[in-house]
Amino acid sequence: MSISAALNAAQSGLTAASRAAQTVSSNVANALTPGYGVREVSVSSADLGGVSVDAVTRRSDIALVTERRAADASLAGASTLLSGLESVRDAVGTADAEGSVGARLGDLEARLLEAASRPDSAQRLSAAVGAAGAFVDTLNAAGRTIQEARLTADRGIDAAVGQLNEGLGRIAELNDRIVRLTATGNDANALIDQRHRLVDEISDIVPLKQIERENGRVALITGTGRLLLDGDPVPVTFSGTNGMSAGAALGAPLSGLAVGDRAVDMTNPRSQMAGGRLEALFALRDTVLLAAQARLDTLAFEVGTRFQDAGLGDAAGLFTEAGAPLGATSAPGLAQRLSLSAAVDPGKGGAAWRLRDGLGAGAPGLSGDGTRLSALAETLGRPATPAGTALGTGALSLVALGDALVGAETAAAYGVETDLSRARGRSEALTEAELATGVNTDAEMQKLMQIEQSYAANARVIQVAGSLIDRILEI
Amino acid sequence: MSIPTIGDLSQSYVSRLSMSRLGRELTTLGREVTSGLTADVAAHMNGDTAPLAAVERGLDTVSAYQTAIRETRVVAGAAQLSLERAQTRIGDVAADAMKVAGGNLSVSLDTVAAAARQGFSGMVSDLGTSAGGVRLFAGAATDGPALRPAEEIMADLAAATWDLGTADEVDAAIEAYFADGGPFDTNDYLGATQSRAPVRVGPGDAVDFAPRADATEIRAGLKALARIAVLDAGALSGNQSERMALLSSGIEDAVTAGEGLIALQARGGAVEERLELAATRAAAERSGLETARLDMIAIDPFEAATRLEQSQVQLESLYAVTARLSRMSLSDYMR
Repeated sequence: MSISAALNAAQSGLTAASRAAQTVSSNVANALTPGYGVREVSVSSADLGGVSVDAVTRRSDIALVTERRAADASLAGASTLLSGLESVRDAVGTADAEGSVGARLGDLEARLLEAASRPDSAQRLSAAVGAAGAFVDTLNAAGRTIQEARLTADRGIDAAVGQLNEGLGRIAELNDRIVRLTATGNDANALIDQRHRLVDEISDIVPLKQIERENGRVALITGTGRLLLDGDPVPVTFSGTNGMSAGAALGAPLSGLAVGDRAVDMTNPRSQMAGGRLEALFALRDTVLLAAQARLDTLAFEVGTRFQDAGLGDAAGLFTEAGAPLGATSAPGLAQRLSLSAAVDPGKGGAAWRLRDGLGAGAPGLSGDGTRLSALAETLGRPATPAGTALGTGALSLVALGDALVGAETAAAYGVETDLSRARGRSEALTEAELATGVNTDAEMQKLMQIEQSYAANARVIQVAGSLIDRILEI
Repeated sequence: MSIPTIGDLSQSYVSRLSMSRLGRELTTLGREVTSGLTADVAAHMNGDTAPLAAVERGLDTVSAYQTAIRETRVVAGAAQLSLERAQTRIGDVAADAMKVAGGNLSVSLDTVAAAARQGFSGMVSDLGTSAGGVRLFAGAATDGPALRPAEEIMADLAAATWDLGTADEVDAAIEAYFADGGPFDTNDYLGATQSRAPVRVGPGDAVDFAPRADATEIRAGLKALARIAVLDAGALSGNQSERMALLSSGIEDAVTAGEGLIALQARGGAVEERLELAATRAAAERSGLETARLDMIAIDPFEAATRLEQSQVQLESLYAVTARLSRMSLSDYMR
């Protein structure tokens, strides 16, 4: 064994130790960096003695990461869906709230009953007209909320698609740079961290699976198997709308989604872009909120027609469709257009006594005649089978229909709330598991102590070898 | 061999999660303990809030019915009182008239006639009473008077009878005055010919007690008093035997009219009883609904308080553990 070989071996030991120390310091510095994969130095014994540093590897449990990304996507989907449904639920009110659509109708019935008891009281009549106006306002506002939520969903899709395309483009660029660095034998781990974060950023839009290719390149496919990136990104296309009408539906005139040159059917729960925020936004825009609008329109139509057909000898009912009598069938968005008859609406020059004396009456009639008021109150309480089926097919009174609507919106939001808390639990557990694979400062410190020892030992070997050479030279 | 370690971020993530969860729980429980009601109605009722809505609507309607019952009771009670007073007036006059007819000298014919005239005025003003702004006997025209002032009616009656010679002629004149479509209807009754509408006091339950001043029973009462009262207004003056004859024929009328008014009062009494019943039913329904409402959304205060205590202890332990863990670091021991 030659002394120079010993010197070489010790030299390689020093190099390995400093490399390891560098890795430890990088790990400690990034202990709180999200998406940072712990670096580990892998070493092996060198052919001619000594130690060689093979590579600095980045620790990552890709299966766990994929699971967590899927969980994040379904969490984002559920919370998007919930926020849409909650806005509708809050607009129509809840069963225990004073201002819910059902409570407004109940209030109208109570005010009419009270007015029928004292038809001569101007306050009672105004209170009844006020209750009818409050109902119309609540209904209109709820309809507008739905329409706005659908527009927001459409804009959300546009933004998400933009984000997805941009993210895929940047990942493709990073892929190229990683390949170049790896091919030239350099450390590409910092870029891999960056790519990891980029994939994280877009995987709540649609869950992404990462497939390893040669030289550190990755391909991305969606959770349900649509290839989005392999070398070049596949363009995802969507065209947002500028305004949303109540009757707008998928295809007329709302845009669908296409990946590459293929259209994707987002109404299918197993579609190739399902599982994330994008699916939830499409569901809100094309099904869930449309159903809510249909429920609201059914109520509006029933309220309008039952007062119109109450047999009180008026040309139009207490409620009109933007001033005109209601048609024979309901058109989408009726809830937004339903309005209080101008004959009684104080804001449109109407007078409350017409509630008692007939909507077409020219002058106040007998002050004690509560017949019409009683009949109006009865209209609210009389069960009948609704023309539309959105609120069930049973014979229900108008007040009960209002409550059925409130119940339906609460139930819809509650169902998603349960899904959301499940998705949140899963996402939290998996995030915790993924973070557990991150940097542990204590372990790094322990490693640092070993490195210190190893460095000192190698240095000692060099010192001894040096003194051996000195001794030989002294001869 | 690599020994699995736990990343630093994982520990802080878990404690942050637990802290926010416990914080939320404490807020919710605090609200529930102070209000006694659940903070999340939908979750409390497993997403089906229809029964609660039905109860809330029931409460709305019951309170409207209660208002209607209260007001109808006031109106019906006042009408009963007016009818009772009218009936007493007629009864008094009839009793006095009988004494005169029976030859009792303690009362004179003139006194009875004057009393009848006063009774007539009194009855007309009774019929003009209003309760809480509602004219009771004017039909649906609750904002105007029911009858002309008594003096004007009396003046018309006097004008129609002053030049008649016999009791039968006066009788016929008064009959004609109060007949359907006669001067009483056209001149004296100022209310509406349409009655006040029945008032709904419960689901499918409406009460109807709105006698008008031109109702048969009331008209008969006015007529009976008028027949004797015209004697005070100068009819048949000087002809004592005809005056006596008119008085005698008026007695029978007054008794019948009194009976008619009693029958009307009995109808009012029945309506008052139904109102009483409706009020009891509404009160029972209200308390039933309120109990049902509480059953649906109230929480067990003891359970909530216990859980609040538990969450607080948990949060305190979490603080202690977090503080302890953050002190446990190898770096601290390496110097």
